Amino acid sequence: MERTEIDKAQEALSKLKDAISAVIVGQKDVIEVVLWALLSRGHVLLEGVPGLGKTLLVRALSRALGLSFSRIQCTPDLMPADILGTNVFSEDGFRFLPGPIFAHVVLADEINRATPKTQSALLEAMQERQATVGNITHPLPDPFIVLATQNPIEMEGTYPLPEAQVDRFLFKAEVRYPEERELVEIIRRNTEGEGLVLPDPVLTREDVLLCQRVVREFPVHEEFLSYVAKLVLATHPGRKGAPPAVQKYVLYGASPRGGLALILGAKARAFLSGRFHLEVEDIGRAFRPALIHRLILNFRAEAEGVTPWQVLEEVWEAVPPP
Amino acid sequence: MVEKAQAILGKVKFFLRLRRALLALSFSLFFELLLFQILRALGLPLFSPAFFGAALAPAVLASLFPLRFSRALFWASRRLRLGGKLPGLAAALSRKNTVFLAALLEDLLPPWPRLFVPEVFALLPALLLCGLFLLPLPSPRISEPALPAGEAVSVPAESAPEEKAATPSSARAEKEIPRFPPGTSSFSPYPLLLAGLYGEEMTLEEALRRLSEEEGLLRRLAELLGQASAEPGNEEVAQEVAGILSSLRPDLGRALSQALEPGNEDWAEAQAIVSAALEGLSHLQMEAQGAEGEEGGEVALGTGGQSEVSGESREPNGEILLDEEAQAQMRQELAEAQEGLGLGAGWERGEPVQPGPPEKREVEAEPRLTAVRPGEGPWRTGVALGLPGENPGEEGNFFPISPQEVELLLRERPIPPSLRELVRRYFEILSGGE
Repeated sequence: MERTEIDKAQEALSKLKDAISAVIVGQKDVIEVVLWALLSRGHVLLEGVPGLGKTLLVRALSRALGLSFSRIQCTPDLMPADILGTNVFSEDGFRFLPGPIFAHVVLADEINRATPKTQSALLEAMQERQATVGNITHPLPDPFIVLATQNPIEMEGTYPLPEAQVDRFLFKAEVRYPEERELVEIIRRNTEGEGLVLPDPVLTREDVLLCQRVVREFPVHEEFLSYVAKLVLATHPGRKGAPPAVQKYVLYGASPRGGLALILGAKARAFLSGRFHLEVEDIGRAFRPALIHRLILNFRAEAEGVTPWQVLEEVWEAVPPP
Repeated sequence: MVEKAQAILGKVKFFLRLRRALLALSFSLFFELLLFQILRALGLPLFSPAFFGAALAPAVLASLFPLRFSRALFWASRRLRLGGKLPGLAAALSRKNTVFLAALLEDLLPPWPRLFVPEVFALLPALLLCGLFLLPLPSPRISEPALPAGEAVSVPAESAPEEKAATPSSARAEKEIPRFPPGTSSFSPYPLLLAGLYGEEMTLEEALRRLSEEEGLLRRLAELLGQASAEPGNEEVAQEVAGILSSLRPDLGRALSQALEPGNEDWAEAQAIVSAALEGLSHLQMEAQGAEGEEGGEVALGTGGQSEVSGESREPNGEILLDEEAQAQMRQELAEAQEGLGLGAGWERGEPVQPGPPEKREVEAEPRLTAVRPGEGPWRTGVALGLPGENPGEEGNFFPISPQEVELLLRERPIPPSLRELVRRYFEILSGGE
């Protein structure tokens, strides 16, 4: 890898951010988390009420990246074959007809409406980056990123994702409701002129792969790794040194994937900021999206209205930075 | 590139150790000063450069103590306001990632002094305090009350080892301050006076030798002047007089040359000058010999003590000085005499004071003396006018006279004008003034 490649990757990412920001009003944090996931070769669970621009964000991202995009609208009658694809018989015999999962950017809309069986098939493909249909395993395209959305309020007729499957998402981005100023801008953009215009591609597949490689090679000091490990372990109630909130409200702490997510998110953030070194602040910013969906709180927490973020805040305070 | 990164990290390590050493030094100095103060308050002065030098030991130990470098690197990076650059550099170096190393080194200019800023501020007051305490302490001899004469004269011989042990600066300070507490007999102004007389410092022996020479010359000059006044115009006498004048000390020679100006000779004035000089010289010589004898007997007196002198003491020049007891007796007699008359001295009997409210009158307040100079106050009654000599070795009988009285004395005595300033200076020195 050459220095010029790094510079080129940074320039490309800067353009990508600008392109997405030109379409999506506000939601800077969500855009940032999605880009972290892209650079870290991870997947994102977008949680938010309908109409906040989740789908638009994913479409704008795929267009700007110049990558293939597919959308899966999850419903209770969605079958795994509808996602992965199926073998069909033709004049040449059986041939594989790839499903929507075979795209660089996949939007699994309202993933919690799909049945556990379908969710399981999707999440397996996310983790393995391959799909097995019949006896044949088909690799998924590279880069591959799944952005799944779920509605936190409409729980009727849904199948909440099992914790083990939620853990497959590297980050969870909480899409918040826009501010008044942002809402005005959204209304204006959608009601005037030609309406919403998606951005032109500013990156190529090779650019994305290069950026992913740079983030992988980003040097991280051992003390940072140790710090992240302490943070993850501090979410476990049985651990010595876990803060009182963890002892009291947490049933299961974050998995090792939480640690990976923290480091990868921090590295991606540092790279996006134009830096070649990590800072504690990078880990701090990645802390919430990396761990918030990995804490399983107990009944007491639910009864007392304690949120995972409240517990995580105590964890952050309890572990001193290097 | 790798070397540059290693050099920067090496510097970080070095400066971190140095910082530790500075911190340890400041703390140890602080505690040593505290201990020093406590010991001094307890009357156990522990003033020694080695005492403060011991503060270096913790500094050396602290600098050699193992350093958890990976952790310290984060601290240093934050202190240098480099964010996480230094840990990033260390990480890139450990992975031999030259691309990231180059990127990190591109604009890496650590402001090293930042590592020390608060520590230096912590150290400075300690060093300042240390510096203040390292200043030479005032010699205890100065603040000591006047010792009895016998003890005082024994000090120079007995205290030699103690003085050797003192620091050079304190010894110098001690040398600069004259060591003649008032009332002790160890002080002799004659070396100073003679030095002033001849315009150069000299030993007492040298001064005595020159005094003897000058006395001989002056006596011969007095004879010659007598001859010259009897038979003016004698060339031989005139030549001899001129030769003697050139051998005399400059001020005296000048005064006599003026008096004996050719064609306008004033033999009487010249004789008066010579006789005054002779008188003064004989007096000085006599006192100087007395002082020399006193100096020579210091050790013996120190060991054997000194005899008590009471009542009145007769000075070598015949003047009488009264001691305290005699003065008290005089005052009592005077008071009794006034009481017997029913009057204060200088008062007449008048009308009795009428009772009633006191008459308010503005009166000038008497000046309240805040300090009593030598020659003033009750002791003044014990001063006999005249040219006082020094009372060698007698404590309490030494009455310096006031400048006004010196002026009176100068007016009464036929002292040549050239010597008047010298006499004034003499009494100033005696009275301890500048």
